[in-house]
Amino acid sequence: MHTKKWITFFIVAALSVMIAVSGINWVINPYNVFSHGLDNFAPKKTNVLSDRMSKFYIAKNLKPKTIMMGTSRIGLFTEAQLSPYLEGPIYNLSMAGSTIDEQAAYIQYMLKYENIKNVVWSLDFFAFNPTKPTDAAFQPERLSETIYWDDYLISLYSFKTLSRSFKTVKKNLFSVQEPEPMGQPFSRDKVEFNIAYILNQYATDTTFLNSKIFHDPSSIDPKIEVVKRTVQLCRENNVTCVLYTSPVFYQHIDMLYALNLGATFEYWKQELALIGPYTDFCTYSALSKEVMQFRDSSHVIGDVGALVFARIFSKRTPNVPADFGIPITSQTIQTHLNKQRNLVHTFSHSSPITTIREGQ
Amino acid sequence: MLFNSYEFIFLFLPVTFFVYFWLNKKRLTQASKAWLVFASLFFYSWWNIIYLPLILGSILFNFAVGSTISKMNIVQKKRISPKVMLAFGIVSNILLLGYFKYMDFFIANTNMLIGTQWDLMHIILPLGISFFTFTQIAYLVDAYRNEVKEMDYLNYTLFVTFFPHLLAGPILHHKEMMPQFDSIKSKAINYRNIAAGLFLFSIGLFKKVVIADTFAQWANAGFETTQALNLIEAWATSLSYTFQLYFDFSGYTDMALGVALMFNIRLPINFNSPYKARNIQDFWRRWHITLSRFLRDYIYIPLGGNRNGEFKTYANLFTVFLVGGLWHGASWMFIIWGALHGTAIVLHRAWQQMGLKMNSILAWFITFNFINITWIFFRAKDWDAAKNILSAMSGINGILLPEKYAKYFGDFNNTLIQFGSVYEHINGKAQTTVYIILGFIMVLTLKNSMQLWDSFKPTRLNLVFTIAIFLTAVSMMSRVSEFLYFNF
Repeated sequence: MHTKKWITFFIVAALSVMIAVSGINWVINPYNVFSHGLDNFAPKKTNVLSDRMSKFYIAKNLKPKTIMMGTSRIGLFTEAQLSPYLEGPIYNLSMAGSTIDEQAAYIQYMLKYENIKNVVWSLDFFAFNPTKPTDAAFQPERLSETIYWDDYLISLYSFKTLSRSFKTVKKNLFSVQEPEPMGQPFSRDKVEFNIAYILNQYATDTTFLNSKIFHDPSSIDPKIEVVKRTVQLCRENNVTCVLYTSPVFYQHIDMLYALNLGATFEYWKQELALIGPYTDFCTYSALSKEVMQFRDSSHVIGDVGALVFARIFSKRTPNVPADFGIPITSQTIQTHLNKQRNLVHTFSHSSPITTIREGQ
Repeated sequence: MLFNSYEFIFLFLPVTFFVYFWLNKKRLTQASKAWLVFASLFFYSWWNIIYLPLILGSILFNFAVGSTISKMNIVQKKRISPKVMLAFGIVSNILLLGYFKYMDFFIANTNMLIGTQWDLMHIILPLGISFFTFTQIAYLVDAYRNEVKEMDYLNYTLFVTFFPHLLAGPILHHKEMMPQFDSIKSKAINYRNIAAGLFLFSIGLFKKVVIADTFAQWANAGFETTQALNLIEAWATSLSYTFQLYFDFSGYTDMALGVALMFNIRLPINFNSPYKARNIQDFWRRWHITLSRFLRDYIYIPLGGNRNGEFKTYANLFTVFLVGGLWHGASWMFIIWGALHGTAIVLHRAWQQMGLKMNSILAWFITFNFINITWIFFRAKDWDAAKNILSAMSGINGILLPEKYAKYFGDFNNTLIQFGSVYEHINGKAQTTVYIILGFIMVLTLKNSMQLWDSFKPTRLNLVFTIAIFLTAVSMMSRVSEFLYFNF
């Protein structure tokens, strides 16, 4: 083969394949990065690279008026549950396993670049743990640059993306059965196992879940400061920021006290009250003892979202247990904490399933 | 700028290439060289322009000192001897390298030894400083030896900054480079060189992006969790790093050679299947060949080489490897690594002197394992981490086998052997074993890229092969990672 011809073939073939692959990926848009609307024939994107990437672009393209923020706890709730109370479009921008810094970074980005009006921020105690590592999929550069090229490049020319494009089309056009989504109900045995398993994990972990550093209440000061600064930014931008703490199974609170995290836990609630009023669902209530309202010790089922938002936003809440969601201010926090402390049960992590059953 | 980046492959390289040959076509040869210098400095400054004055100052200084030494060699009566000038040049270069590379190491050790409380300076290592400093020290020594024939500043600047080798070598010798920049042949587009360059570049890109970065995920995870590793994980960690380092560095070198070839410049080869070596001396003739050459010509021989008896030869060999270790970085781990290799090379020489022989398979086995084990010191962040991996490799932490073997060895459960998820701590999977076996097959049985280059012909088969590996590598480039030798 003539050398010049060899080089020409190389360049033409390489570029042709790259353009073809990029074209297919651009149209199918498997990671939701582009907003051209040509992918309406395949709207369900179940093969994303990471939620952190795709949710960010969905939020950018949707231009929501209200965002829901937090970890997987609020991730189980739906925009529809919130829509009776706040202006749409609403988007659930929660990130599973995220830290407060990561959540704040997304809120701050939306404040800076998008015209949002409301933030509903679900606060989880463990997202304030200073030793909790940031998820590897979180890219701060994505939020600091107006165009983050890496996302566009990976969404265009990549054989992995091409394979996901084909899977996306297949799933949309041929209705391939999805694995069970997070919101599906579990059997009682499964929930009891999940509660026991998660409590045991927290109780026996010696790394970030139950780190010694976290036992010192002041260790969460930098995270509190991040919330304070973000809430302040919302106020400066005339954005309403609604704060609440996520509901947990009652033994989860018992466990925190048993692990000597009670002081940090109370300090956390106290410091949040100084930032502004919030609704505390992360405390003892009738619902906190109902096993079937949970997926595990720190996740309620998706349906509870309706009760949470009803309690926060509606004056008339006949279906919500009276003690579920306590409005907290800097004036009421001490009384609330005293009450909570008096309700703490003895926790035994060695046999939590038995304890759960005995507690019913 | 990284070779394995979109901006390099699709913007920088084509623009630099076409402007260079367009200027040459217009017979603007000086302008074409100036363009290559400009492009190389742009390439260097892409990450951080702050060190651009440093490299420019270093080039100007060394050219001035080198020229002065060369002139002194001609002039009969001189006020300062060339030797003093050479010493001044070398000391200045070493001080520069010492400040940027070793200052914090010096402060930390002084604080530890004599109890001072000096603050660390946290100096950021300028990219490629070890490479361009060594390259220029060699130039000064050659000027002193009266071996420098050319004194053109533009050629000298191009020799030091030429972007394919600037950040991670090969370490060049001015005698093999400067004539090439002036050669008439290098001014016209040579399609054969371009084809071979594309071929080599694609191989290098594939080695780096597809192979090295795959092994990197297990090596990195393993070296982060050294305390928890079991026997198989520890071996997988060390072997993954052994393969990662080779494919990463030799991949970079292939890309450098390939890109330079497109500009009709031949860089010296740096790797020749090093893991096929059957003794440690053989290994150093195959691994980072241009560094070995530098250490031999500019440290070992000036120290006396093998001219002053056996004991002095051993001492010189050991010193060379200590310096080689320290060249890689300011850490006791690199010094330990250098000392281990120095000891091995001394033992090998003593073995040879005694006229002893060894079965070639056994020789390869011992050499490969020695290299694999010493890379642990090279990579581990401290002594404890290295010790943890070595302990796990010896089986002290227990043997964990995949569940599927429980039916064969179940009787030993909880005593010698346990069963469970084998690669958990290194984020590995069942295929990790397959990849490691493939790694062995590649380094031991396949032709290396230099051999492939030698036999390269623009055939249809080569075309399909080159397109396939290029497209696969570019497709995986989104997980951009730096080259390991950028840190040295």
